[in-house]
Amino acid sequence: MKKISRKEFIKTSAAVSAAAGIGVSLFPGMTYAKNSSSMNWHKSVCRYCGVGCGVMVGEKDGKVVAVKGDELNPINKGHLCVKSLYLPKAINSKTRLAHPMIRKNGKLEKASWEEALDLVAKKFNQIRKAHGGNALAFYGSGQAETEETYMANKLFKGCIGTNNVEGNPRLCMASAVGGYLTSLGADEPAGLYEDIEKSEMFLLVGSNTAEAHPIVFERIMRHKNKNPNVKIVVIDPRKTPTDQVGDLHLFPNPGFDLAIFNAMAFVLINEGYADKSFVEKHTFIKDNKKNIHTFEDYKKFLEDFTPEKAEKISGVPAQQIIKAARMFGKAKTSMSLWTMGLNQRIGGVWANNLIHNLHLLTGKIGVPGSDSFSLTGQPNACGGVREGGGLCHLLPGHHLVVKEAHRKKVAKVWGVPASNIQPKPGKHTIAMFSALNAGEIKGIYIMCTNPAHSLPNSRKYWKGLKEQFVVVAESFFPTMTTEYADVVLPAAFWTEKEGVYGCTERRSQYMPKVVEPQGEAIWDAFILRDLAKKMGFDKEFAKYETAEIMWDEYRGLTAGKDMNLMGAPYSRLKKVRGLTWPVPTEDHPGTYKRFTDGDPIYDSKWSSKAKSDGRRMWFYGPKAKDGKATIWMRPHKDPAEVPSKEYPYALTTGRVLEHWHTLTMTGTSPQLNRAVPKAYVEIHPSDAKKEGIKNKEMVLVESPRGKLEIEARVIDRPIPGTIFVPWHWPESPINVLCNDAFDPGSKEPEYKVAAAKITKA
Amino acid sequence: MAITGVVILVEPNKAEEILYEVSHLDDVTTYGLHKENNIVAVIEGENSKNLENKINQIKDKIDGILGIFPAYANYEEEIDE
Repeated sequence: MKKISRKEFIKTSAAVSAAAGIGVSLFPGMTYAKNSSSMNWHKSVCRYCGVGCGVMVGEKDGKVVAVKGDELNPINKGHLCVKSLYLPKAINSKTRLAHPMIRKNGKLEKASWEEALDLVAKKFNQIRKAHGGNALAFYGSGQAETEETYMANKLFKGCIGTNNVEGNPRLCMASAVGGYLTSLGADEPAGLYEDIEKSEMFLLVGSNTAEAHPIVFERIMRHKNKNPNVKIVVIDPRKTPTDQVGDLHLFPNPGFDLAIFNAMAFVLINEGYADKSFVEKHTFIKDNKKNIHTFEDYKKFLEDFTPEKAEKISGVPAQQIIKAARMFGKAKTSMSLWTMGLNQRIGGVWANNLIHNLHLLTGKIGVPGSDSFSLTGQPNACGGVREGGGLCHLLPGHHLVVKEAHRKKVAKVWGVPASNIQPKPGKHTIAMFSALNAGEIKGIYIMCTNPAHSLPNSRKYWKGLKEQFVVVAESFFPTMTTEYADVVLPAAFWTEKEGVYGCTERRSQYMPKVVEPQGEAIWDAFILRDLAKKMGFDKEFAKYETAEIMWDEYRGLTAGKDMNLMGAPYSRLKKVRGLTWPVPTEDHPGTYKRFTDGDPIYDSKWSSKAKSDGRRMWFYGPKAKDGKATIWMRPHKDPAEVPSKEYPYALTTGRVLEHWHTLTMTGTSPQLNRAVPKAYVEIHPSDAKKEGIKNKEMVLVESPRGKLEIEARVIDRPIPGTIFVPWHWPESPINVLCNDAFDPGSKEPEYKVAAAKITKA
Repeated sequence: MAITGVVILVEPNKAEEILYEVSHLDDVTTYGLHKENNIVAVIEGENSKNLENKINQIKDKIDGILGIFPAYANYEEEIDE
């Protein structure tokens, strides 16, 4: 056999991996490229967004030196986006925090673990003794593993006795949770990604799928390429790379799209696309006061949202709204996908409801190819925070703090008195950081997130971070938040710890520990466990010697719940490419469609009742009644700030492909940094002309909350009257200008619309 | 040495033309056009510093490319830097 060089070998491996992703065998019969490497390959999950792509981690001599897409993973089938390729760089980055630090005389100085944890335990106990448990708080992350959030929940809610436990998913998908609960009665989508290849029509709303969720976009794009009759409608105030596959793009004024969804419902009914039988059997129609209405009432309500009236509100031509509605109605199957453009609004829950309405009205739910499917931003926001109960009103496994039976059940498993768990929700994120400002909360533990950068109107909340006792557990240093920390704890990063991530499609996937943590870093769950012991909760935390023990305890709390994970122990998760709940037993394959045939909960409890009522679905979630979903009569709602004479533009924010969130990971890659090195503001050429602004000129962007000097990019991506700024760079933190007004239901802030002005610097 | 294996998804009616263009780029090895509009390619760099730029350049300069999807990346000689 011809000898090949190391370089040739790696090139062949790279080509074989890429080809395998499209189901092509480049060198039939040749196996060396895949199997004979000197590297050890480990099945894992990507660390970035909520799509949940499977990655294979290549380890050699105790270091992660390569990644490749996992061909066997059903989500990405071997493909990755460009961010994931640089994960090895992030692991080995020079910005990794190697040891604990304590602030002394205003400066963070190296400390031992013993010294750091003793200090945190002492301060937390002092605060608790003097001011009660509610003077403490925990702020976590949709990037933390489920086991990590589980430990935090137990320490703060079960032992310290405060429900001041939040996480950054409050800032990105709380409105989606509110939408699912109020419309379908249960959180998280009814379908899976596999609906993509079965759908005839896509409605992409407030989502730059191409850049924020590239693998989902790739699947949509491939599907459309194979099936040119597939239609794609994009609703977004900005042109993005997602448009390259769109058949129709509606450009609403930011925050004014609710009228469009109601107008689409108007057209669907009036042109005969509504499935009245489905509506009658499977839904209630309710107004904002939860009064039940008839279909005729709903039709009458929608008369206020004819396409012509919606045009006046949204700025989108009536004919385009009609065309979009017809595309949705004519297609046998339709799938809606959305993300922050819809969620990060004071009308976020309503907007979510109105998307669900379109599916419920036409019966395009519960069948292959049809679903209302919220995309998530972080890899474990669904698994760790929504399912794991990492918010102020939740307990693990879809349990609620307000329910006595739930508190008793969880307390029993935790081995703590039920009275330890407070019966009222704690403070949601904005309230929590406001309480930190007011001195009502005096100590906070921040894990795996960077709120000093990511909070809206962020400057306002730096005061509390500066004045109170702040502990930050983080893998990277420095961040904007560590600038305010009294103690910084080095946390193990991806591949240095094992645990479970649960992605957008209800899929829980196991990640192995591949290498030892860098420096003195320790796994977050163990840091919390050891802190708990030092605070006096030794008995309660003595048993948590492994991640598997934590997962098994958590898994036990999901038994009998809509998100049943009893069939997903580590032993099984290590072999499979994740499991989609409900998965009640170890021989259950996981669930494709919820609330209908094939869903084990539906099959065992509701199927016969549903069928005797002539129904094909039974919405059995905790917020549904009589197995019915809800079509909501939600009127239009203006954003909290509308452009004015003083601030004539709508400022909106988002991501770019190469970067992720606050740059703690992607900022470690010189390649990604060079690709998009600094913040910029996109302004439409007509607006630039009006303001006398030239391309690449420095400009001042100003909102009622502050100003920022950045470079102008004159481009026809945003519509006239709208300006766009990506939010990644700490030296140009656009979130300082964002509005912290929030949705009254979901408490999710309105990042996506702020009134602003732009002038030459 | 930095090496990435990618699938370049292209518009079907321009596929042959794009394959020709890509195969003549420096540091790019192509492994054929598959399933109508998928080009399998390997992109190399002396180190990882220019890999990302190369991917972006290919995307920006050649008309008809719908997306470039990496599947494999290797940096094994660079991690120790």
